Amino acid sequence: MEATVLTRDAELKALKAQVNPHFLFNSLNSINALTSIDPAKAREMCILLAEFLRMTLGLGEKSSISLGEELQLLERFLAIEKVRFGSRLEMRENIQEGCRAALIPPLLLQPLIENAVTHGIASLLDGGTVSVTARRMDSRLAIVIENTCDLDAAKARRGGLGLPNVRQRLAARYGQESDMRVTAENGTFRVQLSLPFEASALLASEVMEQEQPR
Amino acid sequence: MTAAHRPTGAIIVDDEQLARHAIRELLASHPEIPVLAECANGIEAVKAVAEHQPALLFLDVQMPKLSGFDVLELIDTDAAVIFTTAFDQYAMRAFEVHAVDYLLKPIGRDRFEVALAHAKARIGTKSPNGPELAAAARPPQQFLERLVVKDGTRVTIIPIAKLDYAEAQDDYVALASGGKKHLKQQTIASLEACLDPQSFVRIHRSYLLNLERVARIEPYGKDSKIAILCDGTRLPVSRAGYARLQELLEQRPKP
Repeated sequence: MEATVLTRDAELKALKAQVNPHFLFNSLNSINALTSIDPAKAREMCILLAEFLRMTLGLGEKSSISLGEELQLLERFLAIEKVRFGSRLEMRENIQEGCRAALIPPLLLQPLIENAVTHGIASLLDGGTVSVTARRMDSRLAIVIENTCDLDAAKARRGGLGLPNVRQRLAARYGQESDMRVTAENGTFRVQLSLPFEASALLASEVMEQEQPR
Repeated sequence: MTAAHRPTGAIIVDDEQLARHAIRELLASHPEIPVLAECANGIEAVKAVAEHQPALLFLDVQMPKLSGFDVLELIDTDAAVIFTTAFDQYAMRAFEVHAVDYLLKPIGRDRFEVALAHAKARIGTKSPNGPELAAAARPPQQFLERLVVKDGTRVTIIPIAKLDYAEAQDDYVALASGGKKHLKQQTIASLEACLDPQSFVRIHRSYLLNLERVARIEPYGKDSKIAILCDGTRLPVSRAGYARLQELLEQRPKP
């Protein structure tokens, strides 16, 4: 029961941390500038921002979502940040076939991507690349999020809430079955997650079993 | 009338091109304030300010490598400074405490005009104190992560872990790092206040020492001691300094 409370607590924190006011204000500032120089782009960014917000609201209420859904959210987030950072932000996605159907806690990766942009890319004069990789390894799902980083700035990341929160959520949900590794070397900041591979259909049947007796 | 000694133009500093554009557009209805330069980071800004000597400086707070506060520490200017920020509770509090003008992004026309009118009245007066402003803008319980120094037009960033010791020299501190010394216009007391007291100890009125660098302490003369650093540097330790040093070393786990 304590674990349930812990999970709930971590989930709530994750949701609260979700829409960073910085992100919103910076996006509005970009839209503000675009309205005169590129109205079509301004409109596109409004839509992206609206979609991103709607998705964070909807997904946060579920207990699990597919990796594919989470990626759609991340793609929007990065597309919005790309407008701000221009050529300073490059993105790469390498998702093994079949992995998009895997289930993960909602918004698990979002804070990691946000960290990668705000602490990694934003602190580099010439920017860098944010990449997401996912692959299935037998019964496990391995997700790696990497970003170019300035090692001096990376050291200053101590004390942030994003990483401990992700760790806490994984532990509360999967216990020993999950693993999270954070490394910063050779100009790359890397978060490696390993969790049980749960296919979407499987979970749907589990949910039904649990709910029927009531 | 010669224009040379009466600066009129503005420099816009922001790491986001769109943010710079928005300010440029707001300034467009003020042809008396031409945009002299746009800078995408603090290092460019330090150079551009020295080169153009603007009347007005729009300075973003959050930028890579050098923040807006760092830039303020490094420039020598009479320009009126207007900080810009998207949202930063600590920075905003710092501005309010030090009565520095700032604009929240996105910037509205009316608020912009007010700031501009204030700035015009302020041109030629001394700019706010960089280190104090930066100290006020740091979240509570957080110490300085790095120091910025300018040698001529070269900007050096010294991560705090690489600072060996600091030595007071009148209105300056000499920052010793890896065998080099960098002069910075700051008092040793205000520097001490920004550093983690678990890592840096004032061993003497004129010396602030990184504990990690201490190799040993030896007696020196009748009453005093001397600290010998890992690289062989010898620094005087006062009686009060020795007491502080001992207290800290005792708290530390033995290797």
